[in-house]
Amino acid sequence: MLKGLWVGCFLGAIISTFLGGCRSGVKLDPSLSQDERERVRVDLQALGRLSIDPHQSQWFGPVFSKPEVQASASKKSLPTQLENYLNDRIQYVLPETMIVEGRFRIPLMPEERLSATSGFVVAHNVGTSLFYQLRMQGEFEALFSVDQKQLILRSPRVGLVQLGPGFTEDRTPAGTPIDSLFRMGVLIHEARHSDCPSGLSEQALKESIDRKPVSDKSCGHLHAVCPPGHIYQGRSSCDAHPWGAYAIEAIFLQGLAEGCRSCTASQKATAKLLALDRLSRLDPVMAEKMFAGKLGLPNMAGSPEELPSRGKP
Amino acid sequence: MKKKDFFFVVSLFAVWGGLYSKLKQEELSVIATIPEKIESSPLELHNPSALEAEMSTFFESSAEPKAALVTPPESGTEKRLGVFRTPSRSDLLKEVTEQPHAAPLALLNFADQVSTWFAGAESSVPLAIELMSHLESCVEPKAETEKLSLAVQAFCWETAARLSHLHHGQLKDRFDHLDQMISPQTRKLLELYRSLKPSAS
Repeated sequence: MLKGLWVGCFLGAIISTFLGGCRSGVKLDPSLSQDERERVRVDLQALGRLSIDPHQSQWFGPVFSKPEVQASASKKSLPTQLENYLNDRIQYVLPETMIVEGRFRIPLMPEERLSATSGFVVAHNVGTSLFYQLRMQGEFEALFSVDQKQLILRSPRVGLVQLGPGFTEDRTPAGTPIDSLFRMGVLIHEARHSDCPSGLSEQALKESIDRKPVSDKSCGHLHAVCPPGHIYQGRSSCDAHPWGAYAIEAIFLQGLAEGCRSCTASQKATAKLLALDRLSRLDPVMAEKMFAGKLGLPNMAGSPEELPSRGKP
Repeated sequence: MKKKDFFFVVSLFAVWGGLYSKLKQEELSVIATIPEKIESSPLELHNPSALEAEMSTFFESSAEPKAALVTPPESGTEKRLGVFRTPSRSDLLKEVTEQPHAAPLALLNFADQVSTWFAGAESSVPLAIELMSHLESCVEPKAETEKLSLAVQAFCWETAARLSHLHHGQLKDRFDHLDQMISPQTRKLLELYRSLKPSAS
C-alpha cells in the first residue's frame, strides 16, 4: 500500500514536471539543436517559477496582463502573466542556423538579409522583419514553413523569433555566468517587436520602400537611431516612441530588480544595471511623460492586419 | 646506424617539428589580429607613413583613452574578489557597434563584480571603504577621457547609496559629497528608474 503510494507520488511528480515544462504555448521548431531546445525549456521553466512582488512596479500589471485579467477579481500570478505575454507574441522559436530563404517564398532584398550570427545576439524577431519585407514588395500575406506546417504571415504577430549564437552561451568571455533572467529579458524585448497595434501606416510603408527613416515606428516597435551626445550615438539602439521594446524590457527588469523574491543578489544587480541601460536608451522627455502616465496606458494590442478585412486595398 | 641512434634522431625531429608548428601558429594568430580595416584598405604597403597614419586612425577610433589603459596594480582585495573594472563607454560602444541589437556583456560582468564586492563589504568596513572609492571614481570620473555610460554611473551611485546605508557612520559624509557631484543626466536617469515604482505615481 505504502509502496504504491510512493510510486504514485513519483509518477505524479514526473507528470507535473513534464506538464510544467510544456505549459508554455511557445513552440519549438524541430530543427533547433539539442542545446537550444534544452536552454529554451529551462528558461521558460525558470520564468514559471519566478516569485515577484507586484507592489514594486506600477507598470508590470498594465504591460504584462491582459485588460480582462486586470479587471477580474482573481488576478493571475505574475509568472503566468509573463508566460501569457510571451505566448501571445512568440509562436515559434527558430534555430540560429535557420536559412530564411528556404522557408519563405518572398525574395529577400539583398541588404535586408537577416542574420543573427554576428556579435553577441541572443535572439531577434525575424517575423517582424519578414512582415516589412512582405509589405515593401506589395504583398499582404505569404506562407512561412515551420514544423511541417505553413504559417500565414500577415502581421508581426506571426511571432517568429530566431535564436542567436549568444543564446546557448553559458558565460561571457570574461567568465561571468549568463543566466535565464538575462535571456528572458531579451525574449520579453523581442516579443514586443511582434506588436503592431495600429497597423502599418501608408507613410511608414512608403518610407520603408524609399529606404528613409520610418517616422511612425509603432508597427513592430522599430528602434530609432540614438541622437548626438548619446553613448550609442548613430546606432539603431534607442527608442523614440512610447512603450517600445526597450521600455517594456526595462519594466520587466525593474520588476525583477526590486521585487524578485526568488532571485540572487547578483541576478537583481544585473537586472538593475540592465534596466538602467534600457532606460537610458529612451528619449528622456518622452520617457518621463510615459512613466508619469501622461501618455496613457501602453497599447498592448496585436495587429489589425490579423483581421482578414483590414489591410488589403 | 644503431636502432637506438635512429630513435634519438627521430625524436629530435619530432621536438623540432612541434616547436616549429607552435611558432608558426603564434605567428598566424598575430597576423589574424591585424584589424580588418587595414587588411582591406587600399594602402600601399611600401608606404610606411600611410600605414602608420591608418594604424593611428584605427587606434584613436576604437581603443580606450590612454588614461584608462594604465591598469593599476591589483590590491589584496582584488586578488580575492576579482579586479574592479568599470566598463568604459568604448567597451559598451564596441559591442553595440558590432551589433546594435546585441546586449553589452560588459554590463553583465560589471553587475556580477559589484555584487560580489558588495556581499564582501556587508560584513567588512575596510572592504566597504575600498568599494566606496571605486564607486566614487565611477560616479565622478577624474578625467574627461574616462567618461562612462549614464547607466553605469547611475548604478554606481545607487550601489554607493546602499553601501552608505549599511555603514552609515563610516560612509555617510563620503556619500553626501558624491551625491552633490552626480551629473544632472545621471540624476534624471535615476529619477526615471524610481518612477517605475508605484510610490512615485
